[in-house]
Amino acid sequence: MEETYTFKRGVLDAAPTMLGYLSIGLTVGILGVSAHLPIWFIVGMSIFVYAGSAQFLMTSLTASMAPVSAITSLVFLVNARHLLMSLSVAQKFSHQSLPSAIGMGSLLTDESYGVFASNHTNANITVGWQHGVNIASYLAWIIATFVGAFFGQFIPNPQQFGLDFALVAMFAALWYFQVDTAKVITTRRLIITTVGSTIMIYLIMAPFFGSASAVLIATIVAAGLSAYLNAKRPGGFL
Amino acid sequence: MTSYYVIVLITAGLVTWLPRISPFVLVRFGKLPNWLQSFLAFIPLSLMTALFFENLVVIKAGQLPGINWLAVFATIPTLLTIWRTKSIMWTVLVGIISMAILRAI
Repeated sequence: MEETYTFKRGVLDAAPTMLGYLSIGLTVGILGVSAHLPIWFIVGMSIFVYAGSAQFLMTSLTASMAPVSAITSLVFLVNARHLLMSLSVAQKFSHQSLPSAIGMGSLLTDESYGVFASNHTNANITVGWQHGVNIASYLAWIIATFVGAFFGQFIPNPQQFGLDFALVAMFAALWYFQVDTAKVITTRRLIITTVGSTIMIYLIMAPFFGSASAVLIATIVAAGLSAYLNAKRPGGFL
Repeated sequence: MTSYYVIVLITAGLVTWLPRISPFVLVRFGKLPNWLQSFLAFIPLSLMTALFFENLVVIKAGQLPGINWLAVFATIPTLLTIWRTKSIMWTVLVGIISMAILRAI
């Protein structure tokens, strides 16, 4: 018998993602209110931005009233990776209507891409199934941030519980995953070069331009340098 | 204040949404040039390095960067957790608990 990739099956396949989202979404919500952000803004981020690392970043930046230009460019950089994930999903589902394609792209995340990536070799997966995965994950995320923000109001001083470190811990985890994924596209030596050059450029730039701008400069220069070195090595791509 | 939040939501929403949907529109025309794909492939690694590292140092304008020892110490069990479990959920939990313990002592 052939497996059927229905919308409902997609919702069920999203269950592990939804569980993960509940816990991280709660943290985003709690951190948001502890930074004195209004609840509508915290939930608004989940509805209109829908990207965990970007929302953590926005929480700390808006709390310190950072300039809109800095927030926008950092969020853009953090989320530019979606371009690559969208590319691979779009190629798989190239025959769908434009509204359906835009809906699918709008709700794509690291995790829903992960569900896609573990099923995409199956020729039978359908557009409806991917929508099921996406929509279930999206709703879980919005609900979790709202619940976190609502109950977070009653936690007097989250800082003392170390909650502010959630952001750093998440970045540490995402950094680890990036190092792990990079092994697929390049060598260990080049990964060390990328990491090392990013840190060095950041340290040199930060005292002059401030931390947020230094992050931007270091990211772009180190990625450019790495792509150049990668193209030059035998077997490297470009 | 309210307008600041609204503007942030609109601009951050747009710069997140456009990279997400553009490939679905562009795929109808053709592929991205190789050099751009290659550059984009390295952005996540360099960006996460910078964002993570930023939290381990203290930056003051015109001064040499200092080390945020509290964050560095809390990072050790955090990295061990992601290495062993590969789970963001556990990592965030261990990170929070480590920081709470370090602040208490």
